[in-house]
Amino acid sequence: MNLHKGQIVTIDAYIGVAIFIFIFTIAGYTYVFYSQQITGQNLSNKMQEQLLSISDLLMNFPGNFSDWNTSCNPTILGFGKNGQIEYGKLAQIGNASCISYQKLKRTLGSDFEFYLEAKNVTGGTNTSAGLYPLNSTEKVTVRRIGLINNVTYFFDFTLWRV
Amino acid sequence: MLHTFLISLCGGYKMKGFIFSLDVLFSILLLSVFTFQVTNIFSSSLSINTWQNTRLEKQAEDILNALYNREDLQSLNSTRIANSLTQLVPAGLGARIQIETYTVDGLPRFVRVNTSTSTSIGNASEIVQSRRPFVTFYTDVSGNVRLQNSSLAKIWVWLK
Repeated sequence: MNLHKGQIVTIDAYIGVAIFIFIFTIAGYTYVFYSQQITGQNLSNKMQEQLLSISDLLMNFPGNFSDWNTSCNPTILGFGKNGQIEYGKLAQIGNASCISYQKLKRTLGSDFEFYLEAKNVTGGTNTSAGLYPLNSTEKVTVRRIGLINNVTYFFDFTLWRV
Repeated sequence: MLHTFLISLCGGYKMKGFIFSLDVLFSILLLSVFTFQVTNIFSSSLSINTWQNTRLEKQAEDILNALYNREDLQSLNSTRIANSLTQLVPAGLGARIQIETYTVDGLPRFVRVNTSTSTSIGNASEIVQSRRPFVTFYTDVSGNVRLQNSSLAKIWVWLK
């Protein structure tokens, strides 16, 4: 027992340090884990909000100017009114010689990549526009229902990022 | 066994100045694990998934819009509405429409309820409702267009 006299570091200090490291590791892991989760959730929410705005705009507004499909110089994009879609406008949004992809993204005001597919009720693709999601790490899609010449079409809007 | 081993590791019962006891050690470990688990449980509320519900709501609004644009709603004809509904509802979804009609010719009074269903609700995992008010007109004998009925269309859309 005399050998222990005057010692600075004791066994309980070792245990204390071990417990401190253990708790500190758990706290650090928890912080990193939840901060990643919250950041991911915020990003996902932002994509969903943008997608809803874009799909609402395109489905319910004819665009500005309303003949943008002939001038190919839209300030605001839109396909028609209240879900009644003008096929000429839908076809032009997928026509890169009328609207380049970068211009399409800029006009839509999207921070993410954009893709649209118009399908008939049997699932056959009629028109597509934008960049098809390849190697996407985050992707949100919403299906809107509209009419082209009184015929039902499904419009799958997608925002995604690599 | 473990207790004896730890006691001997720490220098036995005669170890002077040893203030850290096993029960404290175990209680700290248990408290850490408990805190971590509680945090885990409450953090699950961070990621409530409302996206599926929002998408269904948008589709319900779109279906009512399409039915209105095709003048199916204004026909107040259950068979016609049911046929259109079957065509408009995407695969994987079910829908039901109820239209309440009130006459506005003279004193407002309730006329009827028309119901159209594309599929039965069954075991729906997610269900949303949307509404759209609309009016119908008629032309009287003098050729004037008059308000006939005021209606409220309600739609329920669910995941099959």
